[in-house]
Amino acid sequence: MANVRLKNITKRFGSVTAVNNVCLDIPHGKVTALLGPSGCGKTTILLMLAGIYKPTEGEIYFDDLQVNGIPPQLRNVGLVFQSYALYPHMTAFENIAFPLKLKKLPKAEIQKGVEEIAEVVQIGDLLDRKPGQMSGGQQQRVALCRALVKKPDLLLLDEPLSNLDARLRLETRAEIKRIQQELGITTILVTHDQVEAVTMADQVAVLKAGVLQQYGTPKELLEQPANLFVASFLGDPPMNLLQGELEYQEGRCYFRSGRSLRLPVPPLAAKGLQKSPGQKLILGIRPEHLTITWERGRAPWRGKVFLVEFLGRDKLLDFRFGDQSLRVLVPATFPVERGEVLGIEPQVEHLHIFDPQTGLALTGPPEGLRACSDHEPA
Amino acid sequence: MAKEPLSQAALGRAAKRERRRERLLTWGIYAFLVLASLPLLCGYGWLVLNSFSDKLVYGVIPQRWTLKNFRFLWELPGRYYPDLWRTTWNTLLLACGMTVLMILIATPTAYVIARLKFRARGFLLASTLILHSFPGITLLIALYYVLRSLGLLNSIVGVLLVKTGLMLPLGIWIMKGFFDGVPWDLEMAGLVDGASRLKTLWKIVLPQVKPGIAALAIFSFLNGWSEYIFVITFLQNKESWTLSSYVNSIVGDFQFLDYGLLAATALFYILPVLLFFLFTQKYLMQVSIGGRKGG
Repeated sequence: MANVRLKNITKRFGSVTAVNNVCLDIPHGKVTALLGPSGCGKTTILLMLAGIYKPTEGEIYFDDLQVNGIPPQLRNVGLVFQSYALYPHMTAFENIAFPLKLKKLPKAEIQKGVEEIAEVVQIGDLLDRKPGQMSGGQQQRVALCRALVKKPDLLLLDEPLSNLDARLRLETRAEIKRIQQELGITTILVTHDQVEAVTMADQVAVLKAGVLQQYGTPKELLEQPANLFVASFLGDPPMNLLQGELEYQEGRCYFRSGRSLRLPVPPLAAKGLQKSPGQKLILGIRPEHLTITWERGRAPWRGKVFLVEFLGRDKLLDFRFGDQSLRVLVPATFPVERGEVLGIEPQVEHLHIFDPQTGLALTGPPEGLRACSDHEPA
Repeated sequence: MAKEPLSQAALGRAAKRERRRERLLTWGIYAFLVLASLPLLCGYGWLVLNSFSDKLVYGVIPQRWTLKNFRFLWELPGRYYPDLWRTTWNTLLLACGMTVLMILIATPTAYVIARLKFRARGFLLASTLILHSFPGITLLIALYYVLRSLGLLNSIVGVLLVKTGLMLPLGIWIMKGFFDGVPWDLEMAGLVDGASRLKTLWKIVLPQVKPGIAALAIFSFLNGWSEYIFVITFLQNKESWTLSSYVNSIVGDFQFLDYGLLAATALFYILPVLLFFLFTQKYLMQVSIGGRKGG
């Protein structure tokens, strides 16, 4: 079992930098997600951990062992590919037995090992089928078995849910989580789906263009995004982002956007701000942190409902202020019509303020939550 | 009465018309194909008839069935001819030798070209193509000198090497196509599962390109079996003749041409190929599709 440490990892393919100076500490026995849009370098990191790519710069440690030069077959990691990559000419049993056969275990032990893991993943009835005769979900379970059968120190999952339909995805998500907890195996999960990352992972590393943006628990990322990218990438429905500027009146700080929006900024949130009136800012607040109030007169914001989206359990109200839109989440039973004018009250403790130039959060997360790639290389 | 754009009866008529049109089209296609392949069929028909009869009236109607034309199977048809079975053995040697050499050389080469990055990769690819577009016959004289200086004239091995060398580019390209069709993920999975690169090639990648190897084997065998120009140029010693030079010698026999004997030997020459092709054509088809069937 291993604590995995990436130290200033950079990977270049020719002139393209896929991963740029990333540092990560991945704790033992937990699920860590690498989250980001396609092309952000998350799969490259995964393949470096597997040993298929070698980092151009930096070091990878499994516990205290530097593994940079160790080839994949000696690393004892399990990898589930996005395409599953089952061997088409072998049955499920042979697929799962393959890693054990390579270890030259006796036949009886191989049989026992395969059956044990097949029991955990619950695919006992599929063992004599070939990959071509299995559905995507079944193939994935077999691939998971193959990765787990040699009791790896580290389990790597590359977009494990992306090829499954919505229902199966939900099931598999819970299933993987269950198996991971049952075996207590250190797991790294690559995904572009923030819901997947937030639901499955104990901590999430958000990447963009090869650069680590923020690393923390899902809760931390949702509540204290380090920058605009993290703020807008995580959360469903996405965070409202309003452009505007600061205004001071009678010693109190206000955020003004256009003519119709003026909002007091709580002293706590304003602490980190330069007290310069007219400073351009971006204000972020999640749709679930806005409430509709009937006392329109006392509400800080007022708006006309432009669109009502029914989401099943909730309704998403879309307000327009000039060219800016503001979405508010209300219960599905909330009686509202298009065109109605309502008061909106933000929960000020959930306000986020970003610098539009750098994209960094000005009400930023406490020390230690920021991405460690901000540090100078040692 | 309400306007009814398509009554049941009209629909039925339309469907009938459509069926008739389709049937007509099918018959048309068949007729065309039969017509187009008629010359070929006639040729082979003549061959078979001729080989089993004494004489053909007007060149087509057989008279007196006989097996006399097949006498070459149990006796020498003339003092100019080498032993038939020795000749057949030589032909088989050339065909099988090519099959084995092609697989042993083209498969690993194609893997390297398809999968590994190295400096001269592009050059190698281009040069194999150029080599393939070279008509072999233009090399005839040069090769003659080469083989003579190597002491390989009049030896099956010489022709085998020349033929294999000239066919290798095609074989490498075919196999490269098959290797390209094997997903990288499979190979990576093999490595992560604990296999070395070579073991992954052997246990995981090669099974995926089996159809390609089969196709290559068949191509090489047929190519070697039917080789003519290099055989008659480089193998003048009767001991090392192959079946193509055997048939050729009957055509080229002075005095008179024994059509019966010619037809019978030709039939003997064709038959193994025909059988071979019948049993293996499903593998040959895969090449034109140019890849691996998804599994």
